Amino acid sequence: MKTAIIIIAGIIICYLLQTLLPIWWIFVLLTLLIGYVSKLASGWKTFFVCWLIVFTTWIVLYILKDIANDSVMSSKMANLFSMKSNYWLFGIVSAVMGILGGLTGVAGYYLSKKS
Amino acid sequence: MRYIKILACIVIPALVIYFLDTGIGSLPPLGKLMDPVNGFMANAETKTAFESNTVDITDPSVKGTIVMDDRLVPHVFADDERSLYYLQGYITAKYRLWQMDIQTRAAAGRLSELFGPKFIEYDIEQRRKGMIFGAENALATIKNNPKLEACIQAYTDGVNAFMQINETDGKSGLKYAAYPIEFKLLNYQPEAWTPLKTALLLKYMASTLTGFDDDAEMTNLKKLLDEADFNALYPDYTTGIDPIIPTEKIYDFDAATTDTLASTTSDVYYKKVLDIFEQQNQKNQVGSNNWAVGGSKTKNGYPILCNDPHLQLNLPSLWFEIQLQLGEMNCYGASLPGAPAIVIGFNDDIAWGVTNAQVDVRDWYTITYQDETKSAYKYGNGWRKTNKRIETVNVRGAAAVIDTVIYTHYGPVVYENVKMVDGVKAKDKAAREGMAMRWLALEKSEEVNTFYLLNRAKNYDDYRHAISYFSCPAQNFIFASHSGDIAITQQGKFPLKQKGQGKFILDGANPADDYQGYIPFEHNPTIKNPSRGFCASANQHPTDSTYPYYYTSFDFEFYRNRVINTTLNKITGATVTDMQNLQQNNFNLAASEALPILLAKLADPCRTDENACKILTELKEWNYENNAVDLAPTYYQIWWDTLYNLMWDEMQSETIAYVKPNTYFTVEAMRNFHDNHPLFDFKLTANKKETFADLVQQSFSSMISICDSLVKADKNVLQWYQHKHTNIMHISQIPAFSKLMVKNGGYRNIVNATSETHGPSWRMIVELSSPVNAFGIYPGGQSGNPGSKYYDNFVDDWAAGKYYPLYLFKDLDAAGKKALFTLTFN
Repeated sequence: MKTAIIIIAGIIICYLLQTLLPIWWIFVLLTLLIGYVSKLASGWKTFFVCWLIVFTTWIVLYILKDIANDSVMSSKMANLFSMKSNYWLFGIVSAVMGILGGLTGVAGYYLSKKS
Repeated sequence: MRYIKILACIVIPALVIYFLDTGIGSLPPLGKLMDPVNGFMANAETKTAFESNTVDITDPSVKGTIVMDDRLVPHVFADDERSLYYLQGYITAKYRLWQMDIQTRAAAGRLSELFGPKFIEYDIEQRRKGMIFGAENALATIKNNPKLEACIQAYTDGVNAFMQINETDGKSGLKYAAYPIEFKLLNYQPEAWTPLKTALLLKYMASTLTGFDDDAEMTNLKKLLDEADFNALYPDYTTGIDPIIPTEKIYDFDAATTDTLASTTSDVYYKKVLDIFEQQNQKNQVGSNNWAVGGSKTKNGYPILCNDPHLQLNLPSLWFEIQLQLGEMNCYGASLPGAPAIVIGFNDDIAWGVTNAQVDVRDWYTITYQDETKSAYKYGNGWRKTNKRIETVNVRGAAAVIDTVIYTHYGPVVYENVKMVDGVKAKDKAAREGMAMRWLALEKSEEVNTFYLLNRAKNYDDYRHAISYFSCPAQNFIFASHSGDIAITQQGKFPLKQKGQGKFILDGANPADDYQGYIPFEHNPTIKNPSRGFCASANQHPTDSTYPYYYTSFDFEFYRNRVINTTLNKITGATVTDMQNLQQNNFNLAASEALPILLAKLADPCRTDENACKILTELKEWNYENNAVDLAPTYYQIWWDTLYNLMWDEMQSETIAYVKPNTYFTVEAMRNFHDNHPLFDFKLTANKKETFADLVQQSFSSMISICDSLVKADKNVLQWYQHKHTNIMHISQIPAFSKLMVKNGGYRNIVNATSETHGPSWRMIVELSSPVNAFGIYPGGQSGNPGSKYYDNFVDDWAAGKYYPLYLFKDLDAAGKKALFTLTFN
């Protein structure tokens, strides 16, 4: 239950940060903090939660905008980056950003352990 | 261990985030670009982009409404002149901001500051050509015309209003999310628009249309060929042409003359073979068609005017459709993003269009400096002072490059230290020589005034007055009016020349080679209401040989004009549909004249080669139409290209600039040269003498082999449109933002002049009825945003030969009925 709440709250905050501040604040203000204060059971779990927050926020945002745009933009960008389809592009980018979120989350987790 | 993990988990993401935020090398900052809110997905246009609203601008004096129709064409209704051009600037920037930015940076030679050292050479070339100098000259002239200056300033203010330019620091207030995608990909910021940028854009167009010549090539060819061959292959004039001004025209004025005789046709022309110029074997492909059919030849009794300028096809398109309405002025047509007013269009009373004059307005002069300081150069018996202009080319990621460009009274010295391959090579002498360019585009002019006045013109007299301001690039201005007049004028500023002057490199020290004046405007080729009932031009010779002034061209056209004139001579009861069919005429007149000559020389392959026999049969049965899916045009074109290169191998050189004869004079040579003419001999086979028949046979065999190998890769590849391979590339050459291999017919020298990269960039047909009945299309879309469905939505219709009705709305209410959305400024 606690994990689910963290994930849902994280997604909402991630979305807000995303719209208000440059993207790197997601990692400083969100995932690092989540790792630090959430006291999740392990580093791996922290990594997964943070990864999921960033991944979900990004891919949902991508998909919502893409549907409204009939994939006009994303299909061209996928072509530009030699991706098979726009969904590959969304998936890969969201996953990579999720990994960054996961890593900073783990950093927060270990920092909390230290303290 | 835990500290290492903490460190790794912070340092690795920090490094990655840093690079994602700043970019690596030529890569953009991928983090910002991929951000689903502010990155490329912010350019994914949704229906909220098409909601009506009141636009918040800082200038309260601007009042008007822009109605966007269902093709995203803005119909601008303004309360006053400043508002009109302000709104034109605003709405053009809204849809074409990056295009406007990059085109003017390219014109000014400022690409290195964006893309680094690989563009230094290009930038230096632009500076040396005097592009900024020419734009400054144009702007200085415009400043003498307060109305025009105010028009350009209003347009500038409108562009800057869209960019939310801060007047203090000149920086754009646009948020990153609102940047056109190209700024994000290329990682730079928009900058304030200025009147100079408008002038630069027009100079860029002048460069596209007149920024080339054959002077060095002709000089070299004169040395390579004997006089008879040179005159046969590169004549200024020939019999059998069908000029723009029909032969009924009598030039009954007293032509201006010069007292001095230029030294160009004798031994005095610059004899040294030059290797400084780029090869121009890849001929310029710019061209256009226009015609106006008088009411006596149309079904409804009203004149019909047609125009299709053939320019490089790009996305975003060169053109931006717009209607401009202010009081009695109500005009519709194609505008250039970056310049106010409409360039090709119509109003309730008249219509006009342009084709390129193709007359040479760029000449080269050898310059001999007095000494190494290059402060003076020889002119007559004395020395003239030079001016020096320091050009600073800023370079991204490297030190700026400083170039001192020497200006003579002819113009800028484009090439210094001319290298001579057979002349004196003394180092000190070479250092004292340069090559100055005299190019009409750099002289004072106010072309914008022509369009400003044409937009308001009501009759023939207004048309003549408007075009009198047009200097360079010289154009064939076609005209038709609701009152029934049709006319055409070749308008530009043309130097008064002796026969042959400017065809070769000129001697800058000889005052006789200098320009002696200009042809008066009234003497430029023009005709009103000719007896044949139509006016037409397709970049051919403007006049017959009775015109009393000398002119030469880098590339007159010989085929499209004859097809157009033949069709229009025959036509009666012409309709808009007839005009559409003519604009899309795929008849290959050049092939119809060349192929019978080739077939007559070819040995019958049918006994020995079944495939060759099949191809030959297809060629014999070909109707000379270059239709999209036909095979015969491909066979012919491969055969022709191979033969052409074999024929003119003498002009193929890596070190010396030559230009090969054009198609027309190549066919003439096939007809008139003896079979054993030395030029037919292939120079690489020293022990063998080839005849024309040998070349025909060899090129045919090569064509068969090429076709065989192509078919092995893909059986459809020989369909004409696949072989022709028309690509409409994004301006920055990004394939993902381009339309590749457009399926249509036509080619160079064909009325439907769609080649690999160039073609009808704007097709317009206007019937001068009341109300005006107009149609048009261009291969692109109104939006410059690749994330918009309006980015390239016209391309398929354009390729299929369709047209859209062009709405010249009388008022706001009428426009409102077709509105997609409305922008209000008050």
